[in-house]
Amino acid sequence: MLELLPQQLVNGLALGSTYALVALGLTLIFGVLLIPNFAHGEFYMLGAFITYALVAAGLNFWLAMLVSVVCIMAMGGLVDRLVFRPIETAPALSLMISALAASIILQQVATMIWGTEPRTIPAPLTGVIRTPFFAVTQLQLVVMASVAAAFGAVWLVLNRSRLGLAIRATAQNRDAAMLMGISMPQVRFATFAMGAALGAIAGALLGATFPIYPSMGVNPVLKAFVVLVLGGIGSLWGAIFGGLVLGVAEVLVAGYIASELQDIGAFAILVLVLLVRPQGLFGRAQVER
Amino acid sequence: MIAMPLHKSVAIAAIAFALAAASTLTLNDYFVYVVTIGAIFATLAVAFDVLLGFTGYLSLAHGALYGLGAYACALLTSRYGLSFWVALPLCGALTGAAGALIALLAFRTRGLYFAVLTLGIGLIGHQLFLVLPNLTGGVGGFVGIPGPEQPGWLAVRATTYYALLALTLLLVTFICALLFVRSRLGAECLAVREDLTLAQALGIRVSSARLAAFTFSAVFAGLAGALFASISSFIAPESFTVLGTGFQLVALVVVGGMGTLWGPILGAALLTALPEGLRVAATLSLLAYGVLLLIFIIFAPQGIASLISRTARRIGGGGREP
Repeated sequence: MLELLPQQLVNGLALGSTYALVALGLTLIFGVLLIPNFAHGEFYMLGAFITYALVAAGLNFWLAMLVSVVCIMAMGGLVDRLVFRPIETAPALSLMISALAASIILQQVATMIWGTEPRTIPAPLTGVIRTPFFAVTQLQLVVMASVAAAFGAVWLVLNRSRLGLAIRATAQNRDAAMLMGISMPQVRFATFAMGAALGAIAGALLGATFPIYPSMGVNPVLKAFVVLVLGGIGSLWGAIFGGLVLGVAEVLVAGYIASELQDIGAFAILVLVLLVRPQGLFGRAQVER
Repeated sequence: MIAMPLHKSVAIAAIAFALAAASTLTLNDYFVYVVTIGAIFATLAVAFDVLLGFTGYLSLAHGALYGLGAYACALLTSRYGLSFWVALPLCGALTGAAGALIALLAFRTRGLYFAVLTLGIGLIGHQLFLVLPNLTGGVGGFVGIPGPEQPGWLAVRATTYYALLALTLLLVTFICALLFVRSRLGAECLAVREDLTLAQALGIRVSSARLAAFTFSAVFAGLAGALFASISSFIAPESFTVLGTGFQLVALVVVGGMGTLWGPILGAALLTALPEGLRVAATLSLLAYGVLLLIFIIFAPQGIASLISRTARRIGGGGREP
């Protein structure tokens, strides 16, 4: 059993990096705008489907992924404009409900276009790298590398640009930020576009490994909420850390206990963490309006 | 809002019940089935509204509680040979206990964390229905659940009998919910919804009020689940998903009108019975749920109920809004 451990850890880290990538977008939108965006899973799903459609039309995978990310960024802005901006001042409950509604609408639209039958994007890389202790596919490495790259890019935008300054100011205190002349529509659009882009990248990369279908976003977004709770809502490092921990934990549960308990294990972690620390493992004080 | 006197509300509910019950005698089997499903969802929606509308907590665990009631009834009646009438209260007690336990855990958190925690619990519940095939039949579902025994003196079709049961459960749930929200506990729940801190400062025992609301909604969700299992004779995990049933409940209550008890019934009638009656494809009806939910939460967060009562007041008062 134990000789499989290095392999399990590698698989766990690969799985965890995709959770981290999804959670990064979710935590960004929640941390800055306090919007629990249940529709984030649909950015992920549509990112995969647009990549799929473009690859099927003959485009190179990486180019298709780029186009799809740009489309989903625009869609992120649109979703914010139509779904969340009209109820900017409403209680958190309404934001949650409208996010749920947006998620269902996008899922059903995708179902109408592509049907419920699972599809696959042909993998752009098929090589496997073997070491004495474990094997890792090139695609898994790309996923891990893109988590690092995405994290670096988001960090740079947030900490080294004027826009990032505006976003951070908004996260700290929205009213004060507006008084300083920060344009709220601009900040909202930028935040949603960045968050959606992260979701779309995750979707496209995962779509090259696993089958894609319209409700594929549901599980990752729920896992991303687990990650958020683990890592603390609104914390970028927390999203990465939480994602990796969750991925490893799930693989270990599946490998050493029972594979059908993998999902239950993840949600049990969520429940346990919230019980012990209702504000999340590294959470700041209760975020509530 | 000036509440209608209790006896008047009950009388109106009883008349509506009598009309619906009479209609099931004449409709064909298919429409009687539509009424039955509509009534079960209305029961769920009324129970759910006591928590969402009157206490202000969004729970996504209720799809699983509904499922727990259904599976408990299936097991008790088919494996242990209990009569439906013995199993029904047991199912209610079981889901009530489960609900109280979930509430004790979940109310340690609030706001988004509460929604996420109950979401996690709802998912665990749904997964358990899948991974315990010995108890639940797993993905394939639970087959051969005996229907409720029909008394000999009630000479109606079986489908009509089921519809009458569902409507009766709805009436009982409505009256119990009415009594609950008009009670002292109900008033305390409203205080919790309006301002938790203020409620605590006023010496209201916040935790017991919201625990009562959660347990109440769990009991009636379980009863609805038990009846659903018994009259459909077959249940499968897909009927109890978080984003299916759990989301549907939110839609029914919000579109109908949070915080009014008749609004969710209206919501259930419009959103469950109508698509079924008009035979709309499942995808389209879910899409319509999403769109309606979005439109209502943005433009009329108080739902159809408030639109109706506002219109009624305008006509009745002949004048402007107060």
